[in-house]
Amino acid sequence: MTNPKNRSVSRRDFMKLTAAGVAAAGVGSVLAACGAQPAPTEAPAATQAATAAPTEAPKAGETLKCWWWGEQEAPGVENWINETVAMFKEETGHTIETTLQDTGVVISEFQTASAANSAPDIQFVWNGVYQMEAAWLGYFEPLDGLIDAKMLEDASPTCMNQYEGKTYSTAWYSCGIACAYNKEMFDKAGLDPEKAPETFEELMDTCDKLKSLDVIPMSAGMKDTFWSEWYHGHALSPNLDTPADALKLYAGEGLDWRDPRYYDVWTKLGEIWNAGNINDDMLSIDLYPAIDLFGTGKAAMTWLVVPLLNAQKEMLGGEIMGVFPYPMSGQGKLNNWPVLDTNGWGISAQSEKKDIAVEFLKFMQRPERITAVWDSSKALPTTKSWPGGEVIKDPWWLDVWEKYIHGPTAQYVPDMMPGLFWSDANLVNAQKTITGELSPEECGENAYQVVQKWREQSPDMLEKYALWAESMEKVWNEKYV
Amino acid sequence: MTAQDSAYPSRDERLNLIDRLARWITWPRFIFALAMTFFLTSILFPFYWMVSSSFKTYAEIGGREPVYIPSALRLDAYLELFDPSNPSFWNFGVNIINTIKIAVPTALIAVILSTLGAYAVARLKFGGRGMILNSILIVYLFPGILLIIPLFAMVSRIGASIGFDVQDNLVVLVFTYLAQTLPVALYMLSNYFRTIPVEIEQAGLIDGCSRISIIWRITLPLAIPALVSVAIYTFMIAWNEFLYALVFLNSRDMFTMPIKINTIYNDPTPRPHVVMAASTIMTIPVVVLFLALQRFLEEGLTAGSVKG
Amino acid sequence: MLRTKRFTPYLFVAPMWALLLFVFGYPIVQIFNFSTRRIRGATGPFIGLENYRQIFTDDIFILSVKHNAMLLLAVPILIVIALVIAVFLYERVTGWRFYRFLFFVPYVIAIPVIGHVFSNLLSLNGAVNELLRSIGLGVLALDWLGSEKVALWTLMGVIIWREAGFGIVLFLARLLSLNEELLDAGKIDGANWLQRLWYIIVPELMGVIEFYAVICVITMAAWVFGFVFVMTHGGPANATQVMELYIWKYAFRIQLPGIASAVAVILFLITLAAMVPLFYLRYKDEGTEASA
Repeated sequence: MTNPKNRSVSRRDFMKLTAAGVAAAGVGSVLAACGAQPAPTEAPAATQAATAAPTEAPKAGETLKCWWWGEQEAPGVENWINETVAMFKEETGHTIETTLQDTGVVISEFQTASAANSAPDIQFVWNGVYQMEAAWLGYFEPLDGLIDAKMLEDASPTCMNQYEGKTYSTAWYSCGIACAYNKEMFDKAGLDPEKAPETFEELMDTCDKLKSLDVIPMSAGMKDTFWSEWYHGHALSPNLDTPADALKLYAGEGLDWRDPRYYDVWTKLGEIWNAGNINDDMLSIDLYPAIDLFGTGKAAMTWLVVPLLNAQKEMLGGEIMGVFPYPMSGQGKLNNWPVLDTNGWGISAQSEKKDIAVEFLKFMQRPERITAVWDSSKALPTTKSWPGGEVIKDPWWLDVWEKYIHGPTAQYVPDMMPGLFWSDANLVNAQKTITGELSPEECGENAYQVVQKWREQSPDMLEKYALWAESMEKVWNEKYV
Repeated sequence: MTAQDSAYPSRDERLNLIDRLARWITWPRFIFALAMTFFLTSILFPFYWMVSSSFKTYAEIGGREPVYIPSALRLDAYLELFDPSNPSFWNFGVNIINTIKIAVPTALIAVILSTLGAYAVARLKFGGRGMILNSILIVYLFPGILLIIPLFAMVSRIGASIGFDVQDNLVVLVFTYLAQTLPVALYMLSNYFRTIPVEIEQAGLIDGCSRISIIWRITLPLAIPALVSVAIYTFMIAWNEFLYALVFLNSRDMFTMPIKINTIYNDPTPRPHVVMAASTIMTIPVVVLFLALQRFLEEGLTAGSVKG
Repeated sequence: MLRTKRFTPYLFVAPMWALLLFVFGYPIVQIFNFSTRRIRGATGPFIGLENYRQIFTDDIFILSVKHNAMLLLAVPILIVIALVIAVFLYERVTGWRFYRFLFFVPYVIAIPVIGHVFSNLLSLNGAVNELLRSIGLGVLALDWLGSEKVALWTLMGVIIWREAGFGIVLFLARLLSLNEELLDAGKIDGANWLQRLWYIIVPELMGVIEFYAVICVITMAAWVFGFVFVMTHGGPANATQVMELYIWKYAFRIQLPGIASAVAVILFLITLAAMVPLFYLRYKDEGTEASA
């Protein structure tokens, strides 16, 4: 297209056109896919080809695949993606084919595709173990050396994308967690609307006072399971000294769930539930409808994530919504720190066009593009050098940005949970605390047992978790405190 | 049962009527009516709930107090599904088309392949005939979920070497659905073929027709109820399938309806009314199809599939 | 049976066999292979029967087997409901065709749809409970899907709601093909409704009933994933955990396909055992056909 003399390009374009025509006619995607480049059959070959690629001059008009997720929680970012892809094409001539993935398959689909050697060049990632498991299998390319160190550090708002000195993703927007409260209801209940509870005791008192208004003090829904993870993020961090402590707990290396300090997660969940401070149908409704109870004025407080703040704020109207970190009154150094998390972008080790993929990742980090994330979706960018203080005009949002992204933040540690812990300890303990089947001590014991089971089932992961904890502790103390 | 001949029943006649009614309502009849009412309500109420909820506002269905009758016939949920100018447009039309693109070929190919196979099993003598039927039934008891991992890996490897994508490839889905439905289709058809007297075909053979033309001209026309049943059955399975579509489809624009409904359901801004609208749209065609072809199913699906 | 050239029958079954072999052949072998390895990504080291040891020492696996077994209780319930309704309709209720249609409708609705509708209806403050409360039956307003004591039974109820339609249509078709004189003779002999059902209808329908029973057993053991996945995700606290979901969990969330495959092998063997009666039926049938 850009170079009509280049035969291979025009042929490729012809193929693409034919393929597009066939696809549009709805005849079938087998033919359409024939137009795409055949992937090599062996993984090592792919890696070799890929490492050789950067030495060649970048070819014009390549097509890369990019799988992503995000529109689901930050409506509007799809426009940003389309815009960025168009601008990238304009500037470099390369086409990025994007696919918006479904929530249930974001991580597993990339791993399955990588195992089958058909991974996309660029993959959206959730933080922590979600990218690390794939990285350990060699599916993600470390970005060090491909992107310069300064930019890489700038694009690493958390340390959960790093392992043994290597960085695997660049940041996009914040998906940290927070709690929200209704200032109007606080006022009516005789509470100070400008002061959110700061200790667990204050939280319980606040709930008591709110009950006089005949509203749900805090809303939550756990039928679809996800709430248990968010809650774990809120409740564990305050009892940790560094995020690496979470890794030690999950892997059973040095720290023990049977310590009351750590099963405090479920002790306090039991307390707040047993005091009748959460909606009674918590186990039979889903996460998002429960959050909406806050937005529709039926609940005074709720647990949520930063990308959802905007929708709730718009629903509630005006400025009656306040945001605060969940007051756990934990015993760790991280107590009362707002919790940050970020989504990001990685590059497949199987990609044959890593140089172009790197260009695209860098393109997304341009200040203009980062600001556009905020403009298009009210999702808060997490790149460290982004001058949010100048860009954000709305004082409400400025406050959120300063607290939850810019200021000192803890990290969303559930990102590092092994899958087994997620389902058999995190979820089961939370649900059984609500049904009253397990006492806090028993929750601690169950978590400990699950860790032991995980150690048996995944002996190959033990060393990786230990090394990860070690390097994370170091990085955290050097760069993130 | 009813007051037949009298415009104005006298008091005696009215007593007589009640008397007759009382005699008509015997205990068995009463229990029968009660049971039928119970069963029908429990069948119809969820159906009613789905359709009526699709006309509700979010507040009506998402609120804490159930609303049984929508305050107005609002089309908001449907507009959200189909109207591109709607701020939360779901582009559901594409998903309907994808589902059709999968379900129709699956049904057609299943009919063709199972006709051939079933004919051979029912009519022709060859070694391993019994084994084929039985081993094919084993396939049916293989839960779909456990094939996914190796199947995906295998198809990807083939795809990588001859150059097609596994993800978002509707053809791959058609193949897996065929594999899931063929065993039952074969079972149903072969049983039906057996109910057709062999003599009719033998007459044809004597007249010098070829095997294929016998099937085409004699057997198939007689087996239409069974063929229609197989087509509906496979169509229905492909139309409704969830698990494979969930794993094999990646892009929203390639989704079939069941997983798109799940996606709408999982939206952080809850849209239960839109879920109900999409469900209604998805359900009505199969119900209508079934109603329209009930006559064939009556013979084909059951008389053929199960012998006494 | 017709005589043909030797290869013709094979040509007829070849396309179908090729397709089935393509989709099932390699994966089935691979599942047995996977179940002896710690799979990471595409493959992994051979670890013998370790995966099997892992699942048999896992309480949650035992629990999921137990739940599948409990779901089997639905099989007799399904048979009774389907049989009774089929006989009701057979007694020539006015509009029986229409009723049959209504009873069959749930069977053609997609499982995710059913799951979402029932989740909505059955939540603690949902329509069903509000109805119960409004007619003074508040004690019956249980937390249908949110209580670990009733969730599995609720799930079973919903599955019955969907699957009964197939049985009704099946039984009714068989009833319609029965010789009516047989039933009339029963009536003349003064047999009451239940006696006629038990002594005349059930024996006549035994073949269909057995077929339906086997189908139901397989459904309850190996095809309930959609219901569980959409309605409860196995919760609350594993109260509705079943083998299929356990496979899903290990394959996609925990990313240990080796363990998932080991469960798959076990599930396969269980369903295979359930199939034996059907095979037996078929063989018996072939026998009578051959002698006829």
